[in-house]
Amino acid sequence: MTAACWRYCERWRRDLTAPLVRRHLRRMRRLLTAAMITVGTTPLAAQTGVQLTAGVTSSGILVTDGVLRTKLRPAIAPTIGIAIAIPTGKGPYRAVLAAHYSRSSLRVTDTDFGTTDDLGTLATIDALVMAEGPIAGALRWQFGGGAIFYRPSANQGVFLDGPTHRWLIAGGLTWSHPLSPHLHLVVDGRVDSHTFTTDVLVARHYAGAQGVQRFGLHAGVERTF
Amino acid sequence: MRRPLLGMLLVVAACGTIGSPLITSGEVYEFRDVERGDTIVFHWPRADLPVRIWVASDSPIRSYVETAIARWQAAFLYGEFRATLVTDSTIADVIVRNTPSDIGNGLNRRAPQCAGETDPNINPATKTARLPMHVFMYAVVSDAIPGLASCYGVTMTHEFGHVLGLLVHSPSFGDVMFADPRFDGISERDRLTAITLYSIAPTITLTGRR
Repeated sequence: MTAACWRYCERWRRDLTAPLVRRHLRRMRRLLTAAMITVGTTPLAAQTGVQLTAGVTSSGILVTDGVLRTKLRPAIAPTIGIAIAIPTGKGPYRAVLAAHYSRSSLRVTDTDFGTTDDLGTLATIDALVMAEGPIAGALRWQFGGGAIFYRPSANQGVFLDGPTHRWLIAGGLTWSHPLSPHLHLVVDGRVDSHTFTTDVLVARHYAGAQGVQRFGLHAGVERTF
Repeated sequence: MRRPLLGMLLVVAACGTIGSPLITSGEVYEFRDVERGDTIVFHWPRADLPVRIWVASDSPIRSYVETAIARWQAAFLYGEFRATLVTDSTIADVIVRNTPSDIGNGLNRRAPQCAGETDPNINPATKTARLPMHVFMYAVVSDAIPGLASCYGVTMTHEFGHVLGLLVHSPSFGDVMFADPRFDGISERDRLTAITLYSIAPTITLTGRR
């Protein structure tokens, strides 16, 4: 600061327009920091990584019985996942092999009587092969397909013939933030879709299949190599 | 071009609804009883499931009870009827004995080799069923006579049809709920009739234990 400034600063300060909001620069700094974390982090392109995640999965209705006015749906399920991401070349794309395990109660709702009942537990395992690419900064898209395996706790009801599996397609967004040179925090949101029916439903003349959407939100870490 | 196609696939897969088969009146038989001019409909409420069944651990008919439970549970897709065996008869909803009935006036079935009877303990005046219900099944011939095992299998499945609420016998020979059944299992008409029973509101409520 110059001597001239010392002399005239007080007058300049008086002449300047007073700030409308106090500490606005501090707010802007926070916003800038958040924006930099969101889009300014180095993308994980071309890096091999192994992810471990945990989160929740919400499933849509497995069966809507229009005649018996009954709905069958798994409760929101805690989920754990593992994934391996492999670069597909020199570009920013990766192939992701992922598997998730979730387990929750299977609930039946009778829409006429307004009752809900627990029919044991239902575990699901999904195995996915997805492509992953950049959107902006640390935000990346994922899209692919695979299979979902249903493992009921008892062979009863729609699972009278035991476990079953269905093909599914999945897509989502993943965000990462470096914790150390080789360790990243990852958060991903995913939606997948499949059609549901079982052998016993087919044998009892249920036509077609029920469209089922699942939503998952997971957080975890990725170790890159 | 690819993105809209994938989007359409997602939408198509997500929007489909499974088609439930209709149950027509010709596919079921009458399961409701009529007492004093009033219709009686009974089935186990979901809140009281699983139904607790007691049969002596050393009873020769225990395996037939297990088979009957498994058969009727398998008739339903949404767990409308579920039962479990308990070791203490004082907490049982249904007591099964390998003796002739000491109550009488139950729904009975008699074959050349064995006989069965179910007392649902329904009071039409108060529209209540008092727990426990009682089921009796016993041999009317020597254990060595061929056909007793088959008779036990058919009869216990038939009696459990009454336990779950089929209060009237089927007019068809091919159903296990026929008055003098030969069919060892649950026919399609038996299954659809049981499903229909559990899709309507009962007029009888449970009293007693629980």
